[in-house]
Amino acid sequence: MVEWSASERNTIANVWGKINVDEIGPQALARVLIVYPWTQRYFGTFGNLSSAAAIQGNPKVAKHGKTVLNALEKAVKNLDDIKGTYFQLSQLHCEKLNVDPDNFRLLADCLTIVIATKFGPAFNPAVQATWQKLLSVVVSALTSGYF
Amino acid sequence: MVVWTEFERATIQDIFSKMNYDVVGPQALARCLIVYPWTQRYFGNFGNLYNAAAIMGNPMVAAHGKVVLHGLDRAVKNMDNIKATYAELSVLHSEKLHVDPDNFRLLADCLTVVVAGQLGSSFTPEVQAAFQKFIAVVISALGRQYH
Repeated sequence: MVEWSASERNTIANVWGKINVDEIGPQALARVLIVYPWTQRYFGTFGNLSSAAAIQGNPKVAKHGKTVLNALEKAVKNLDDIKGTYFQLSQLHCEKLNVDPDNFRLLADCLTIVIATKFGPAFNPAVQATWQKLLSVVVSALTSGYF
Repeated sequence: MVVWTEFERATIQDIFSKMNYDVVGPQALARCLIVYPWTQRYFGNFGNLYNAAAIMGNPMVAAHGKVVLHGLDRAVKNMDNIKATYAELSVLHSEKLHVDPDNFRLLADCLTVVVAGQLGSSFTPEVQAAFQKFIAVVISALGRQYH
């Protein structure tokens, strides 16, 4: 089981409290589609993804970004059982959506970058370490339903 | 051979011309040692790496961070021949330093976070894509001479 220190719990609650989920989610997903263009293959029904500007203005990307980041809240609120919390979502991503789990790491990386751009120096090394620990646990939980 | 668009060349030159290497290098290396603590194994003679504060204040970490980032400058100045530019450094890291090439990606990720934190909103998705492409080419060149 994952151990969280009091300081890590505080850091996570603090970072999460300052994030506007409806703003950050779309930005993170847009960056994934722009920086790692092969990921666009999962979004064939999303319409115009033909350029960075199109992706950033695409309403389906924005909406889906919000969905994904709202789901991250489950982890923030259930730090002591992230694996159990994401079991069903893991099965969904594997069996129904057929998402290669490598992509979870790509989205996690882009999310970290967006937060770094927003927080500047407040996203110091200790905060970065805690935040990346949270995302690794989430990525691991989402991958755990795959066989 | 890697093909660079005008936008990518201009973006890379712009980022690095404005960068304070002596600040960014130490920050990136410190973050690497803090966020991915197993990397400390390469720096056994660096003294106190006991916690984030110690790492951030450690003068050997700072000195080495500067060395690494000045090494990156060679790629910035030779974007059309990064592979050849790093042939010797690749051999050094493989045969003398015995650095697992996965670590190049970890340091690169930390460098990206530092740059994102400094540039804030001007680290747009397009700029991020150009920066990460540059870094990926560097990583590939550094790993090239490993067998």
